[in-house]
Amino acid sequence: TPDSIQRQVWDGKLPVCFVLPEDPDVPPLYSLVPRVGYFPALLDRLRAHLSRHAGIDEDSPGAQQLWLRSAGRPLRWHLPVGLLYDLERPKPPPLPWEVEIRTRDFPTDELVSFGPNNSLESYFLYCLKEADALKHRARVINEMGEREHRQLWQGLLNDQFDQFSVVNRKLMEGEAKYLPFRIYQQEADGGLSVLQCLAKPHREDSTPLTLSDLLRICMPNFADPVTLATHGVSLPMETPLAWAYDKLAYPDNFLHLVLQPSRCNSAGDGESSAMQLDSSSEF
Amino acid sequence: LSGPMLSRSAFNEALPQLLARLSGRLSWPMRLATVGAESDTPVMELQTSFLVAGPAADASDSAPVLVQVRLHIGFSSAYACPVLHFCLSQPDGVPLAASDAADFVRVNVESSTGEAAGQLDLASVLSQVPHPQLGCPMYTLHPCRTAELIGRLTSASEADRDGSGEVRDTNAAALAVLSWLTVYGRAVGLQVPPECFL
Repeated sequence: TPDSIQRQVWDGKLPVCFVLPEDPDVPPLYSLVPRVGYFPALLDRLRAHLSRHAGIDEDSPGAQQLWLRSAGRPLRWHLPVGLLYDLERPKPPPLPWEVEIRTRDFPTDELVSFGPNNSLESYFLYCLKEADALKHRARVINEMGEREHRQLWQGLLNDQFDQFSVVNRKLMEGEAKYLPFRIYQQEADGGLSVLQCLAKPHREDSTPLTLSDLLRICMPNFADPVTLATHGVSLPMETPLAWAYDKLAYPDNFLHLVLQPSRCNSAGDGESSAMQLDSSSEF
Repeated sequence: LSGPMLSRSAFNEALPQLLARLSGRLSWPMRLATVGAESDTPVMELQTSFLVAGPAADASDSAPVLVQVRLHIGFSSAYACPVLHFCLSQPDGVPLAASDAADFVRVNVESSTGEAAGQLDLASVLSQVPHPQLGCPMYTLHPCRTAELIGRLTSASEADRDGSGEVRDTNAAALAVLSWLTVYGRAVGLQVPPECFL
């Protein structure tokens, strides 16, 4: 059923092992973290763990300025957990995913700081507003009251699909002017390129816009073979963007796509979704 | 609201005039920068930096508290309107603590709108977010009401708009952005001199 894909996306979880390298005697904290969730939502749990096992008081500067690292780089924790995992290079780390807790040297020029003056909830709402601005000129989100905004956040926070969906349905239904998406490319030097542009659900001739079309719009001069993946799954390039958006958008109402160079194959080793883009491709 | 008042292209074309009007009256360092691309359109910003009085640390302080504001004036395609991203630091470059940053914006907004202290729900309009192209954390004011506001502020006549209602004339676009900045800039202590409109 159409709902079952959305439900599977919602239910996807990653086993994560949080370690504290600055004190190896502290036992790791294991957690099954929702792919569609956010690491800062776990800050209270991490602080409680440090308080209990590392003698780091929850109100201390170390606990308050806590941040996370993976493979030697700060985790850009404003992005959903699953997206961060899928971005890891050169390939997704073995599971459980080992994530380091840091209590010093918060990278203020790289990481958004979440706390009482900048809540994860208000950032989530900021994302929802932008998505609705693209789809509906923000009419739907602005017509919702604060209660429904809260319900979206609480539903996500508490892993309550039905509570979330009953409100989110209003944001996801109806004709969208532009579809909210972002294309991410992790650079070898640790930088992250993020592409966003205006994409309508249909082409000029009213046929559905595909992912191939999307790449052509966003990266007009790009010619290398690539794949686009989301939630760890490569998508066929002929997939209509509107379908992918409806089924695979994250709770923040964005379709987050990871761009990867593809191994062009003629023998069909299972990586069949690559398609070479150049001006001779035809539809 | 009939439709988008500005496009990214129109905003880009208006930036040099915006820069000229502001730098004609303000002696701050100011420049135009290309920070990325959206399809085949460059993403451009006007970037500037200035010192402004911050909220008083406490009543007995005789020395004024100064805040260094690094301001990026850009464009949001999602909202089809200008958008501010800014960093707040002490004059020595140390970023303001989140609570001090919130106080700074709150005091500026309240003193310019006369809104009673405590009534403004700052969390619903101010967030620290990654800059869309640069990726670094910056504060932003949620643009959700901007499109409505700029529609009321723009002095563009019908002749300046094309069939979709979009402001087409560069001069009109620059003045519209300047009008918007007059309102939104107050949140970071920016006072746009009236002479900039001449």
